[in-house]
Amino acid sequence: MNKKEALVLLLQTSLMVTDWEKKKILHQIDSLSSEQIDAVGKLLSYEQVCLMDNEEKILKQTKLLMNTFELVS
Amino acid sequence: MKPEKIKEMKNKAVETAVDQMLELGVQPVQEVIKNIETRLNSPVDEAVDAVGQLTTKQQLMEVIKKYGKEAAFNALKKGENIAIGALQLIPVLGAASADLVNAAVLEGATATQAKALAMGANVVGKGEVVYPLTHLIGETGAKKLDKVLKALDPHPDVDPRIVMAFGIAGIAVPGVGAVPAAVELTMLNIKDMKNAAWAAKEASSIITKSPELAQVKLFAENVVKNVGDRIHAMGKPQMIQARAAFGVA
Repeated sequence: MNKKEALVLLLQTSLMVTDWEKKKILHQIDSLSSEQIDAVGKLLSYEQVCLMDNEEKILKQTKLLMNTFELVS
Repeated sequence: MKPEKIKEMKNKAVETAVDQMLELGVQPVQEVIKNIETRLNSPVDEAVDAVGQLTTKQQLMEVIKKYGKEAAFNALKKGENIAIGALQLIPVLGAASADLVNAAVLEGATATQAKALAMGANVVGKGEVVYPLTHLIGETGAKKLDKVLKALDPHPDVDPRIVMAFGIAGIAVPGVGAVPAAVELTMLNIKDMKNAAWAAKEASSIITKSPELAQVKLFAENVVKNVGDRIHAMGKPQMIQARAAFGVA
């Protein structure tokens, strides 16, 4: 798997980058320099590692966050 | 401001925001990555053992004094005896104020944690925002990452890390469709999610006036499931291979 293909996969599963911005980046991916691909790919890789390591906490906090919107007086 | 107008502004800003991110993103991202790698490689075993025995705030201060704030922070991530989440101590450990360090209580009660983490008059409670990346990269890294995230976030008056957490809620969830306008409007107007009481009041006042109440509840349930599924998907072989392409195990 080359880095560009890997970046596409990482972008698709990233929780940090919104869907709209993912589409925009993917649209431009062929014009990205190798340095840009490397930098963003590495960051998204670390994002995944961090998310997996903290899955329980993240889900707990997400539930709390979503509960805020469900509060009805 | 009407939700449609907000959406229009957001879309227009995103057109240039991504280009900006790609331009300015490389250097700060590289700095962030360097920071991550330094933190991952720094030996904190002794600090971990020390933190594992902690039962009082006084002992936390001793660890910080002996091993430094960074090591103590890393150790807290791994310490199983510590009730307080390590990321919650970022504002404490990241601040030079000894008073804030004193305020880091380890007993574990949510109300006590909230009080301990108070920065001025803000109280942290239900609805506290998750900063998953900050958990890894620390306060310094988070500030550098903010620069990149700000370029992605077309609403600079909202903390980009909050937007990052809300990026989860920005996912179009199958079966629910687009984010309900009531939720999006709330997201755009909430400047400080640490003030949960304010956030809940604002959210409920919008939601009770909105005919989308049922959709919001369903959306909330699906977001949690969606996040869980997406994190699980990151463990699949193809994703492992993708990370390996960038040298990340």
